[in-house]
Amino acid sequence: MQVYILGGFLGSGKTSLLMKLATMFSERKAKVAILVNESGEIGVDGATLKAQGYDAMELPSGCICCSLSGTLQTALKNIKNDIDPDVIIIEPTGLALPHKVKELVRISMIEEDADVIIGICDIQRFRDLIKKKEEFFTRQMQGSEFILINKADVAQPGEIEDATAWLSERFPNKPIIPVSVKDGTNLEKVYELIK
Amino acid sequence: MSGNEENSMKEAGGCAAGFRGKFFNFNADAEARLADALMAVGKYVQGESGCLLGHIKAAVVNEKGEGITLNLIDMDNGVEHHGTLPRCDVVTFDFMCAVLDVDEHELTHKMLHAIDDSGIDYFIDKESLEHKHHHDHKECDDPDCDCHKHVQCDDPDCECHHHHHPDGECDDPDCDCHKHVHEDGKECDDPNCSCHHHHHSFADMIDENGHFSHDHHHHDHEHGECHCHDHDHEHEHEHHHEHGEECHCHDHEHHHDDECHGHDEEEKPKKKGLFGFLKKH
Ligand SMILES: Nc1nc2c(ncn2[C@@H]2O[C@H](COP(=O)(O)OP(=O)(O)O)[C@@H](O)[C@H]2O)c(=O)[nH]1
Ligand SMILES: [Mg+2]
Ligand SMILES: [Zn+2]
Ligand SMILES: [Zn+2]
Ligand SMILES: [Zn+2]
Ligand SMILES: [Zn+2]
Ligand SMILES: [Zn+2]
Repeated sequence: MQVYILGGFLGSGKTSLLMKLATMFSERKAKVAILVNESGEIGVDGATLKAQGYDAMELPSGCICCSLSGTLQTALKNIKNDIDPDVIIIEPTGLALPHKVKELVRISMIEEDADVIIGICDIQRFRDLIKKKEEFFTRQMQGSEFILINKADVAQPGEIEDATAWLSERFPNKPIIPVSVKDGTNLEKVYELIK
Repeated sequence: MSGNEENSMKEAGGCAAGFRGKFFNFNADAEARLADALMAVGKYVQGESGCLLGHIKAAVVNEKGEGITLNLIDMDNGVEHHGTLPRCDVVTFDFMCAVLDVDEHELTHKMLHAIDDSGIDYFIDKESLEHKHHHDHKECDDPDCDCHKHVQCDDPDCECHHHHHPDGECDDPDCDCHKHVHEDGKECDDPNCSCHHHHHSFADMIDENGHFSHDHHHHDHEHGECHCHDHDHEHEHEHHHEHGEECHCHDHEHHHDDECHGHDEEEKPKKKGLFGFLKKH
C-alpha cells in the first residue's frame, strides 16, 4: 500500500491533481482510497469529488492544530481494515504542512510500503505567495519528493524558468516539473515518478 | 521543530470561514448570482490583504448527488464553474473561504451578506455557523497544540481557549478577553473592549427562516458602540444602496480603483432587497 500526500497552498491544484491520479490508478486496476481535509469547518472538496463520482472520505476539520492527529489515524486504520486499498491519496488543507501529515501517517501503523509527498505550486500566484509567505511556502515544499509547478497552461513567458530557478536553489535535490493538471501537460512524467 | 511552534494555519496567517444551507429554485440565474456573491467576497479579501491568496468556493449539490463547484482564486480570471446542474427545486450548498490576512469574523460577516444580497432564495443552516472546534482536549496528544497553554487559567469553567486559538487569536492567559467571554457567544458590554467582535456568534443572527437577520447592525447601539463598525465603516455603502439611486461607492476613494459592482447588479435587478431599508436611516 502506497500513501500519497498532496502538499501545496490553497488553490494550487491539489484536488484537480487528485482526481487525475485517482483516475490513473483506477485505470491501472489499483484500488484507491481518497481522504480530504479542508481548512475550516465547511468543506467543498468532498462535495466536489463525490459529485464527480469519486469515492472520497472527508476528515472532519475544525481545530486545525489537532484535528488531523486523532481523526487521521482513525480514518487510516478504518480504510486499511475496511477497504484495504492499494493506494491512499491524502489532500490536507492548503494551510497544512505536509511533512507533519506524513509523520501522522507514519505513527498510525497502517504498515504502508511508502509515503510520498507530492509538492504542488501555482505558477500564477508564485510571486505573490513568495512575496507574502516565503517561509511558510518553503516549509510546505520542504518534505516533498518532487515539486510540480502547476498551471503551465496559463504561465507568462519566463515565469516557469524563474520559479524553477527559485525552487532549485532551495531544493537542489528535488525534481521540479512544470505541469498543467488542466490540459494534462507532463502528467505522464508524474505517473512515471510515482507508479 | 521547536516546542512552541505555532500551528500551520497561524503560521501562514490564514483563516477559514464558511457555512452551509439550502437554495430553492436553483437555476442558471441563481448560479450566476452565486458567482457574484463569490466575487463580492473576493473584492473584500483583495481590499483587505492586497491580493487574493487563497480561495473562495461553493459546492451546490442536488438530491441525486449531482453538483457543481464554483471556484474563485483569481479576481482577474473570475469565478470558475465546474460541472452542470439542471434546474432544481432545492439544493444544498457549502460556501467556504480560506484566505490569508483577513479577520475571520469579518470574513464570515461579508460571506453572509454576499448570500443575503445575492437575491437567491436561501436557507442558512444555523449550526454550520456555530463553532465546532471544541474537540476533546483530553485526547489531544499534540505537544505543539496551543490549547495546552490554557492550563494556566485560574477559572476551571473558563471556555475562552476554545474561542481563541482557531482564529489565531491571543493565547495569553492574562489577556482581557478571558474576563468576559463566559456569556457564550454574546458580546461583552464593555464598550472599550476591542475583542468582543470575535465572540458574538453569527448563528444567533440567523432567524427561523434561515435568513441572516436584518437588524444586526442596530442591536449593538442599544448597548453602546459596536466595535465591528470601527473597522467596517465601508460596510453599508458597499452594498446597501438601492439600485436605481445614485451609487455611493463612488463617494469613497478606496473604491475608485475597483469596478463598482453596483453597476453589474443594475443590469440584473435583485429579486428582493432585504437590506434596502438600512440605508434609509
Ligand atoms: N489554468 C489552470 N487551472 C487549474 C489547473 N489546475 C487546477 N486549476 C484550477 O485551479 C483552481 C484550484 O484548484 P483545486 O484543485 O481546487 O486546488 P486545491 O485548493 O489545491 O485543491 C480550480 O479552479 C482549478 O480548476 C491547471 O493546470 N491550469
Ligand atoms: Mg482542494
Ligand atoms: Zn481546540
Ligand atoms: Zn488542541
Ligand atoms: Zn478575545
Ligand atoms: Zn460583529
Ligand atoms: Zn452586516
